[in-house]
Amino acid sequence: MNKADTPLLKAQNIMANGMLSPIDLTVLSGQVWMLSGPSGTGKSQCLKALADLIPHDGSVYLNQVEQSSMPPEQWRAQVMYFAAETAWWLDSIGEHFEQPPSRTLLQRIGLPFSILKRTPDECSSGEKQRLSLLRGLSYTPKILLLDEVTANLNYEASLQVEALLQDYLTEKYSTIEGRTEGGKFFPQRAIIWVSHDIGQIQRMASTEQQIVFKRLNIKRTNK
Amino acid sequence: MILISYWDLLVLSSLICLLGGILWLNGFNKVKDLWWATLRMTVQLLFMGIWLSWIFNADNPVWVVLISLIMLSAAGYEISKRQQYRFKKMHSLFIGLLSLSFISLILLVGILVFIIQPDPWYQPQYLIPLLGMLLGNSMTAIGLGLDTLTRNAIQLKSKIEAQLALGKTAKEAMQFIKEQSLHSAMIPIINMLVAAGIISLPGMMTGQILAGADPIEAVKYQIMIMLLIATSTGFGTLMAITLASRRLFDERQRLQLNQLVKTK
Repeated sequence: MNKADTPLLKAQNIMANGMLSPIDLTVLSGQVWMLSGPSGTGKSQCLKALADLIPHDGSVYLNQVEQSSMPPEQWRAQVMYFAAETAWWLDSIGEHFEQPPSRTLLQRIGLPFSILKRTPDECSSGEKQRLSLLRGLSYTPKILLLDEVTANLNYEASLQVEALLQDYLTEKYSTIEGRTEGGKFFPQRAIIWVSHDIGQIQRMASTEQQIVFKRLNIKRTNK
Repeated sequence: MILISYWDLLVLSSLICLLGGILWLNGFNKVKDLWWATLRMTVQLLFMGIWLSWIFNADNPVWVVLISLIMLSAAGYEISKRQQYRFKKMHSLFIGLLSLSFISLILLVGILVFIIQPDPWYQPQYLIPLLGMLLGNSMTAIGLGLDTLTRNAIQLKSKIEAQLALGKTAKEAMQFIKEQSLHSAMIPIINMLVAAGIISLPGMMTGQILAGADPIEAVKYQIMIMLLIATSTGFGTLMAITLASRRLFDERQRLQLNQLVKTK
């Protein structure tokens, strides 16, 4: 088997509170998977389970290493969850970054450099969504678990974010880590993205990499 | 020392009756609580007086241990009662009791054996009032610290989870809440230290002076008590907050808020 075909992330029978049925997932390096479906079908819960933020059944492997055999903080730094509602716990935006993002990086997604000096309350929710994305990317996670991260953005800004994320999967992004095999670049990165935007889903992933969460057609019995 | 009679107290209690009546006319709806608390205070203190005179005469360490245990459990119970969000399975009581007794008892024994040196060291006349003062202050601070911690953990859940998601440990993610909890627990103590001697005459010192002791000697005792109170309060709160903070996460460092139940 070609090394490029070994799954970067493999999930078997993932099931958490709030999910309606277990999920299997095999994600290769460089891939983008789009998850969609009505509210209350457990999409966010599924992402949180993959990041090991909530108790769950089933097993997840990153590069064939089992989730529970890795310290949780190490796992989450590599399989990183990005919430729809961003959260900030320090006084200024800039303090939340260990390495502040470059001017060019901020410009690419339409943000001024001075925004780092502002307090979280002085930023709009759309600005904060983009900043939270950069904050996470600065840890160079391998798997991005994106939970409606462009929900508060207009079309232009959404496209900018999509382009940035496409680049993150390739060598174009500022920091380059990965391995080459026969001259080909394997970025060791992939995205699993929950989105309600049909256009975005089609732009980012081929039909084989789209998963639609459905409501089960079974009446729930009261236990 | 000039003694006061039970009659004097009965006459004075009319003050609380009067206060209750006037507050009630002004829309205060906890008059019953005020009267009940006053009654409790009176009965509890009278019992304590009877207990103490009896124990002082009995000269048996078993009674000293027993009354200390009663005081400790009452303080632990009071801590868990003051929480808006309580841990399931009595863990609030356990955390409160452990952090309360651990540091207070070490300090108490240390001060009796090495500084005051009564004979025997557990002489109830010294041990019980000292324990009472340490517990009373630590109890308030630990209760306040725990309440701030659990309340903030619930309200600021997304800020904790966002930090966990970035690969921070549970300890790092709780740091900002821990700071706030320590702050709210320690501020009253710092204020007490600042006010002592200028604005307030601390109760123990006043008592000793009223009983005819030399003011300087009374002051020395009071300073010792203040040092002990600040120490036991600070360490006790730190311990309670650390224990509670750990309890909020499972073995995979996932925030488990379902361990808290709302009580009020």
